[in-house]
Amino acid sequence: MSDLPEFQVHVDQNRYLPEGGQEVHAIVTVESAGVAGAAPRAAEVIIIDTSGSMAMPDVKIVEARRAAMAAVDTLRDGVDFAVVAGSHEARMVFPPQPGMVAASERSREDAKALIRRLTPDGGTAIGSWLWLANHLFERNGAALRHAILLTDGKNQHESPQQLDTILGVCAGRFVCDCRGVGTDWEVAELRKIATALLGGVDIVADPAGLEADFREMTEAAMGKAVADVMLRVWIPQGARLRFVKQVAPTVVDLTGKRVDSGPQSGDYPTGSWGRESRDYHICVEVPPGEIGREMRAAWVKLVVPGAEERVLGTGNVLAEWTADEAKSTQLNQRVAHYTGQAELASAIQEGLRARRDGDEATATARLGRAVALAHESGNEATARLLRKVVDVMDPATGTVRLRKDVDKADEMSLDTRSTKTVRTRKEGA
Amino acid sequence: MNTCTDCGGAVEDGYCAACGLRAPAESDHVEIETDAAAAVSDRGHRHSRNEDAMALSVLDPGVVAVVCDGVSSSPRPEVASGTAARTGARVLAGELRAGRTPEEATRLAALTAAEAVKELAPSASNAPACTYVSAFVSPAAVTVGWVGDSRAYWLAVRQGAETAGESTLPFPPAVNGSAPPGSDGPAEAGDPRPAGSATAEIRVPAPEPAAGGPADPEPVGTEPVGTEPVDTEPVDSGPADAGADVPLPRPAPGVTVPSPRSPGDDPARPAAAPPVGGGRTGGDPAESQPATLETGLPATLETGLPSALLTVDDSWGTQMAALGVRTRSASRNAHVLTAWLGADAGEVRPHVETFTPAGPGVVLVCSDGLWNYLPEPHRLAAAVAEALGGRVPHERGAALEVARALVRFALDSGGRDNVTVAVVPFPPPGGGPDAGTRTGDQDGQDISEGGPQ
Repeated sequence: MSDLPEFQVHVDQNRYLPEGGQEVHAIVTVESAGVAGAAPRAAEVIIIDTSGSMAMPDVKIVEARRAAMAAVDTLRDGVDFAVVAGSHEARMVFPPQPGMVAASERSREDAKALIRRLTPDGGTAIGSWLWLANHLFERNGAALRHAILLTDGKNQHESPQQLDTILGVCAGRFVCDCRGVGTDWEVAELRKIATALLGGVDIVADPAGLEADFREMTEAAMGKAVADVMLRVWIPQGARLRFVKQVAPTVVDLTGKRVDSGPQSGDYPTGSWGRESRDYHICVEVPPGEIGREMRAAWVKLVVPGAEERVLGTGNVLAEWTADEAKSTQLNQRVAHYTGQAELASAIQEGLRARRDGDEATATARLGRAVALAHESGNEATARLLRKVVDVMDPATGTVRLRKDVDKADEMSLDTRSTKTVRTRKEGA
Repeated sequence: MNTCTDCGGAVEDGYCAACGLRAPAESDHVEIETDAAAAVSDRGHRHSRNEDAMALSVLDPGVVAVVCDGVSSSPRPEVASGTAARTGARVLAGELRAGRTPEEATRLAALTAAEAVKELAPSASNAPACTYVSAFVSPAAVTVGWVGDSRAYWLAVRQGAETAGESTLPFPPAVNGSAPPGSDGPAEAGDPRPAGSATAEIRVPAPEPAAGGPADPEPVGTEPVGTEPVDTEPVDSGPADAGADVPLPRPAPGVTVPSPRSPGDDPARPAAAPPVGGGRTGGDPAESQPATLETGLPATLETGLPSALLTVDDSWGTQMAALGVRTRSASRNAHVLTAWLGADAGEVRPHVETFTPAGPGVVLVCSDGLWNYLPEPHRLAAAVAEALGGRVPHERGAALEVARALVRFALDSGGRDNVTVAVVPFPPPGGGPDAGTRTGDQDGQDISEGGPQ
């Protein structure tokens, strides 16, 4: 690709450390201007769970069929696509033989006719479905590769190790957004798949919102201008990279996805980029320096690896030791905000887990903390979801009571959407 | 600089690729030298970058020097100062060549620089800002223009002050007078250019017949501040008396010169532009001060010479002092600017003053990184004389050494701020028959700018 989009990298931090200080935090905002030249070729695979569990109740397969058809409808003309049905094995739905077909009015109708006839049967082996999708993408060769996985998420016919192995192979090859059908699936399990494949996870609970959700998802996927972008982080000798997290639009811990890319530097996959902005929270532990010493604590680059490596943008995270306490004790507002948003996500997840386990004290404490954090940061969407699970007495202090009659779909919505963050205003340069 | 000063690693994009240590930036220390002037800018010890900027432009005859100090609390202050210094020097030199009066050109340059800085701001709440001071040093006079608290000083420098027992250079120097005998500087003997060629040009204008006579100069709207009549010698006198009690260089008959401000002066206190014969002032009213001589300084230093601050800070401290307020809070807030260049500055009204020196010396244009440590004109003059070590400021390399020495002084005193010093010897070279060494329309090349980009 010669016309790569321009990336703007902006670093927000307090670079001043007190004497002996070692911990450097920064929020790195990456903005991509979007399509620079001709959009790269795109391919889409729609995977629909047709395992036996989808028949219990059978409204699940009905919902899944409707969702898959909506996804097909949103495909732009010319995008190569395929539909895969998954049970204890993967099989082609459209086209009938392994391959892909360019989207057109005719091909979309053909595909929908076949989706309508899908019936639930057999077991569940999600890894094998992803394996087939990966095979289709490899043969097709498009630069932008996106999959939608519709499932009830009970991976019964392969071991977690088998799934992990396949996720390892597929990671970085294509992006996969997961949608849970019904209320009978494990949020954590589907989140694991989505996170490994750099996609999002959500619940298919509201049939009315389904088409809009798919349209947004496929448009976002097809609107990407560049694929396989790496966040490369260099740190000085003797330093330790404590974590690298995406914090907006959602919280995703990338720390474990590191691939060493050189002396003192590692790459973290970020997938495809369209016209969008994402924030990353980076924390580095540097060796302590004397007062007045200035150093680069991290050098962040957006890189498209390959034979002809391209650097799309860079930013510096700095450290400077000062005797001026007014400087070193100042908390950077965006670092503080996103630290709160990350805590919000974990408080919700921990609170819901405790609630399921019957530990009401922990559930009340954690969900109360979540209410306070959502209130304080102005995360209204999450606050609204929380109110369906707890009765809020005082949002400022996080005083809450667990609700007794919680709709399963509401609880799952809160869980899946717990990682969605709100942004703060950028501070002055 | 390609290796780290600490660990020896390779430097990549300003930092060591191994240990991460910041490598000195180009703007950390900048020096500009022309035949006629020199300027040095340094990041100092406490700031992470140099937000000062400077520019020099050489005319025929005359020298333009501009110094700007980026306001640290504004975004991209180093861009503001760089833009202002570059624009100011370019416009000032261009307008002077186009025939404008020094005052008009100075005002226009400051306003154009203000406009350029204003345009850097995407919005008023995101406005890069800086101070501005310009000096146009012609063979006849010095015109300064400023907004903010960067300063211009007139420092009367007596040549040969440090070479007791040697003859000093007269003012103006004899046509064949070169470096003072005994000077160990790299003076090119027989290069009388700065002095000799300028003889015809640097004749101090006779004072306009002031109402009160020489002893009572009456600058418009300004109470005479610290002035005193000084006896003079004929302009074309030969070498002056030698010896430890060498006489001061003398201005032309009837010319008055400002006296040094008393050593205990609050640096932020306004000093009226020195009302010198032929000079025009319009500074704020200031307290009348008796001419006092610093008594604690060695006799060889420039104690009695009429050095003066030419600008009046646009700062809170100055305003308070002008109102006669001397409080702890006034000195604490002395540095709060009341005027600057920037989209958030409102209407910019540059001050413009012209000063006619009564003798040779140097015009010093500097940021507060220097004058915070050395505010008093006579002490600055002493430091300049010491740096000259008996040479004339016009001597090749002398101006640069003076600028370096003053910057070094600020750094040795703590270097809390960026420090920028431009040194322009008066009278400037050029205009004489052999001014060809430094003439012509060299705009662009001559405007040498310091400061980060």
